[in-house]
Amino acid sequence: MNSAALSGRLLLRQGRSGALWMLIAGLAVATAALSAVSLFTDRVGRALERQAGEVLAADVVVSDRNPLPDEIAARAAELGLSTSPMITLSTVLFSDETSALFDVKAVSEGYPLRGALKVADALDQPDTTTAAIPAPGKAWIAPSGLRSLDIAPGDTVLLGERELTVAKLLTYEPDQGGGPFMLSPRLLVNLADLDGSSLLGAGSRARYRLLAAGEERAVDRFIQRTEPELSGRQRLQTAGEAEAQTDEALEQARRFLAVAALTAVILAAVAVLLAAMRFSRAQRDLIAILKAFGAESNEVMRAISLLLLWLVLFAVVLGGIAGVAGQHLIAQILTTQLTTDLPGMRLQPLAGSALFTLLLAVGFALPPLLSLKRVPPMRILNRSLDVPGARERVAWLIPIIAALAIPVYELGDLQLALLMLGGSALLAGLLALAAWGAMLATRKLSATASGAWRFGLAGLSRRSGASILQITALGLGLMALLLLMVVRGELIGQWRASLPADTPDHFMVNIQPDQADRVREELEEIGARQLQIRPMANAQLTQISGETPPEGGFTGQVNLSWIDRIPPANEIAEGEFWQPGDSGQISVARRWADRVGVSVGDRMTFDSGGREFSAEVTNIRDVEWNSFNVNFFLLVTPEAGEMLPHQFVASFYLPPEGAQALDDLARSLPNTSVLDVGALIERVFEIINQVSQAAQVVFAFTLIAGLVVLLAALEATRDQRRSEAALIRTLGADNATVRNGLLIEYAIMAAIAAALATLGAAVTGWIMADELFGFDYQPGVTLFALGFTASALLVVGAGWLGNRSVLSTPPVRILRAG
Amino acid sequence: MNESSPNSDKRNQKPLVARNVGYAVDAPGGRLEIVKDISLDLNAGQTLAIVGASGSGKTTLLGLLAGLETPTEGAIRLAGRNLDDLDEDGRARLRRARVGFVFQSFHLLPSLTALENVMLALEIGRIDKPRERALKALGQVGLDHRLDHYPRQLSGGEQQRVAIARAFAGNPAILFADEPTGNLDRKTGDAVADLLFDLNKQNGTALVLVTHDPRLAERCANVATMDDGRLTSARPDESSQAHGSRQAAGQNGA
Repeated sequence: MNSAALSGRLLLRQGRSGALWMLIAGLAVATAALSAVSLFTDRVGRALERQAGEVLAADVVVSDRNPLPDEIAARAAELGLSTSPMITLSTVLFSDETSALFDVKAVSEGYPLRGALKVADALDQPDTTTAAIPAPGKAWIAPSGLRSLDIAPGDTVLLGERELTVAKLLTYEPDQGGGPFMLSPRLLVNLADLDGSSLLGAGSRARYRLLAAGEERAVDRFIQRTEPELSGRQRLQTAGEAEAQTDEALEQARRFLAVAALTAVILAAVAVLLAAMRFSRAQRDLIAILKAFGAESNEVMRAISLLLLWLVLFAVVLGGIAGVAGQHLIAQILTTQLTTDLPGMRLQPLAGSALFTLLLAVGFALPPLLSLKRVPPMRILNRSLDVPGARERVAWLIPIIAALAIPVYELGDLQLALLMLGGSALLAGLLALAAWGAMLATRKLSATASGAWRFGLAGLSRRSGASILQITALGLGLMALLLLMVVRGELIGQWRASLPADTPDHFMVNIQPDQADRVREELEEIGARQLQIRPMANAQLTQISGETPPEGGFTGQVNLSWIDRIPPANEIAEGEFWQPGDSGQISVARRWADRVGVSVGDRMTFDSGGREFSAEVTNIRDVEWNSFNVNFFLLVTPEAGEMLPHQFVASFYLPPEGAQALDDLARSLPNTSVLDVGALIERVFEIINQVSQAAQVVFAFTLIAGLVVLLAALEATRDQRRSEAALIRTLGADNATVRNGLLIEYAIMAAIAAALATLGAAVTGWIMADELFGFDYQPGVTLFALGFTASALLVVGAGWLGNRSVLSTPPVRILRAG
Repeated sequence: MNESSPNSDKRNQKPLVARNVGYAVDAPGGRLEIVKDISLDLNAGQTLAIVGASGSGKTTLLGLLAGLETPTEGAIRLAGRNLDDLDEDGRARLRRARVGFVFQSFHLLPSLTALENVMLALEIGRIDKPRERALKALGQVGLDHRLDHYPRQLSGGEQQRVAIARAFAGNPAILFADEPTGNLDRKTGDAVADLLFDLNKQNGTALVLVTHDPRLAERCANVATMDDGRLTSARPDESSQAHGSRQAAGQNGA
């Protein structure tokens, strides 16, 4: 007997088998979710791929907050390396219409030492590679920058005091950094232009860099000699390190998406298991007949295995197509956010997803099918003689092991996989528990009900196991989507609404001491409210109570401010704040104190430009960072102002009418920068929104998988429903009663699933709001409306599709066949 | 008679010999003997009906005799082979082309047509020219106009006829029928029974028939009654003997 032919024929002819289609659907959804993610991350990975060394536009980069000592460049030249100095700075640019924050990069001859720039003349023109850099007086701008400033190529922009012409669009730079998302657009200018502006100087946030590249041994020698000499904020980074960072970032993004896809895979696995169990049960008669006619056990198993293989192939094709579509959707959503063009999709990642699906099938579909090997031929005469043997219990280990192995393999991280499985299990457990409670309630109800209600409620509690499974599966998928689609938006909206009406939404930095008073007057004049102007100095923390401070980002060069009384939005946690007139004291923010290990009574010593300054810690404060005021980790008593060079920082709220006036003021003080915090926050939320939307695509697969579980469970209980329906019909119930009973059963299931999903989403939102943002989240009507509508449509729709035959089969035939 | 079938010597050996066959299972109340000490012989072409009340163990006996189940005691020789010597796969191989079945609920594969159902049995039996034989068999049962129909498109009687065609197509030495007319109305049942016995005579197949229908049983040459696991012969016949344990111990081996 040709196993292949038999399996193929049997497969093709069982097109009406619901269990078979559920099996295929489960495998297909798993393939779709996995391939959508892997196809997309493959594209991003290839986009971020750099030729060796390009990621820094050099082999090694030395950087500092202050201009670098000449010795470093000299040493590089000595060793035969090419060098190119560079300065990067985040600052506000002005156009005729408006202003915006930009990431300015000022470069010199030789840049980039590795890789090449790409420019275009206009938005709709193709870009070309260039070996040049912007000439003095010219600027190259990222395409998104045109939008921010509302200009076109050829217009001028103001960089500090310098007026520059936007000559070209910068479409590609090898050392972009900052990952695929950038908060501010790029402006590339000539180093000479930045030197001439008044943007550099004490207190500027510029980063000075020296790029170096050359032959490998020379670079190594350069690193060996330079690295030990570095001090303060000086850093040295090699191309290898930078690449590793990018890879790490990409890996994290991939893992996030993989976790999302895995939730779909887990649910799909449940569906596959259910469907395979059902399918296996349905094949037992067939196997018994085959054996009665002389088929050997391993012939039977060959046919079954081949059958499974055909199924997997078919499912992989279906799922692959859906995955490609999903990947396309994700890319579309993120197109405006990603700063690099994505290369076209290639099909290799599909192979991985296909293999995965095969493993899923082996892990979850094969074990139930294995039990078919031992179907006793006697079953053909008497079904009751066919009982599953104890030996078959062992096969259940396989799905459990597979359930553990699959996430570990996909995520590549045992801890994360366990966390994910544990979290999902916990969530599922909670949902199942709640569903069980709801089932108990309906059981109580069914006692007092009558007619169709009684029939429906009784059916629900009779199949409570399957019902709980269905509710949990659907609830999980629904909850994930509700969280992403509804709660996210509401959280963001409510957080912003929770901020007081005139919460500061602008910062002004780099105000010189002699400008402070004028700035205060003019800001108040144009309508600024909640205005705070604070001094800010930069100093090196040299000692804490006689000992060197610990290494880390919090120490070294620190920002200090001074004040004569406790500032707003600050609360004393330990100790006492000083009075006006006191001196020699310092107040530390609790977060900083905990990190660095400072407590009341310690003595901190600072050095600024050779001058020493010390103070005793007399109190620790809790800062309400949410207030958007200018806040400082370290506050000292006002006498510090006479000793330390400093500038001023202002925070204020400005009503929209004042925008033009603010623009004028900022232009008249070219050394300062005005940051529109509101716009920045908008941008951040924009990114969050689009990333969430992309994640929604993946979680849509999760919902579909939940739906497949639902259908599979309905399929598994179909025979039971049919005999019940037939029975009550013979007892005299009419079609309407049966139909309404089914509807009621589905409707209650839908209601419970919806209630759990919306509650789960609301509670999660509330916890997040409380922990992360510190406000009370109020779930809106949309959440519940959407949750219940979606659930109703899905469950009742699925129930209808899956169980139409329950209504249409004549009772007599059912009773006879029983 | 088709010389290429493995049954060319079937006239020369008894298709079925059973000696002191018993079957017991472990039940909550102790060991339950479903079949007790049954011996019987069947010659080529002979027909035997096994009747008895439900629960008497006749279906179990049928399964044992057909090699679908192993007895806990005694020995069975089916189509010339001792079932003791064979494992389940071995018995499966033995059944190929030597044993045919007709069931009460037909047991046709719903996803295959009438023709394919008959061909399937032949293919499993490794019999050559399955399609030709299947066509011929379906012709013999009068269903050559229903070759491409699926079981759900056939009436009960037609389905059973397909099953009969399937059973006879391989020219088996012995055919086991379990309540073949149980799911059919009287008229259809009679027609099906006619077909069964006709083919049995034409092909020289031995027939073991389990039924509770006395009219069907009467048509068989021999009738044995199952009562509480034991077999008693109701009509002795000169060409075969079916023994209960009270009668002379069987000297009729194969």
